Amino acid sequence: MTPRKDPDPGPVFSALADPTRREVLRRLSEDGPSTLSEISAGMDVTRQAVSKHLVLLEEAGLVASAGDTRRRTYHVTPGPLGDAVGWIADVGAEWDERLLRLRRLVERRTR
Amino acid sequence: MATVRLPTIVGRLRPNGNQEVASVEEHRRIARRIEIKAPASEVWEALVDAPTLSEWLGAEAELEPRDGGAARFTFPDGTRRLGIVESFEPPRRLGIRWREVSGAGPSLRIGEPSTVVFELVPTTTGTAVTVTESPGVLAPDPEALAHR
Repeated sequence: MTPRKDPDPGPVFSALADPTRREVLRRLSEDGPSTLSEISAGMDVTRQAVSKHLVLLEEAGLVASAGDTRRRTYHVTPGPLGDAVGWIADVGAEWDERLLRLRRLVERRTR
Repeated sequence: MATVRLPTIVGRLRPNGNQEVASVEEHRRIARRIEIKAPASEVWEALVDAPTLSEWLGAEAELEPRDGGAARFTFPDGTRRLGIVESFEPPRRLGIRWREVSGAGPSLRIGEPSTVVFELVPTTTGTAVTVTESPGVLAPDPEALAHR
């Protein structure tokens, strides 16, 4: 996956908002590359539902698949998680600096 | 200053339901608070006076200090943000929605909008300033607001 300059973290947060998708991601993280049947085994939702969740996870760039349709395996690609967390860290740090400058400026003026 | 006529923007479609996005967007909210030893009126002035705003924001700012007013920001790296004043309640609350724009003509790129809200609360020693920034995908488009 090539890094994008301005990644949009929205799809990542959306993908992570659903408990079933988090469970799918957790299983893939722990078990390594798995097929749809392996992921679905023991889950409360249908195979079809898991399949849909995998599509959303793939769209968000959190999961990738390999192999042909008979034996397709899915694995975790955690890169975009950094983008999502990065948005919060970057924007937060910007405001930290700006507010300190605002305080200095206002307190200097009113002293 | 004339109201900025923002280019037409086609909103990004999300693949899933709104309810989920709403809770998700909540996670992306930045909130910061700082205490300033000055009256709220002084802090307010620093928020809405463009030269002063430019000084502390770290971007060259133009701002029409009124509800629905236009705002433009040019950052040192050359990126530009266009915005609109969404709430203007001196000296308590200032809300600006902005989004990054780059390029021109067919190559124009429009970033995801986000809303910045400043809230000023008088304290015994001065003013508590809270700033929040959150992606504004659920709120109306600046284009729509510009014509209300």
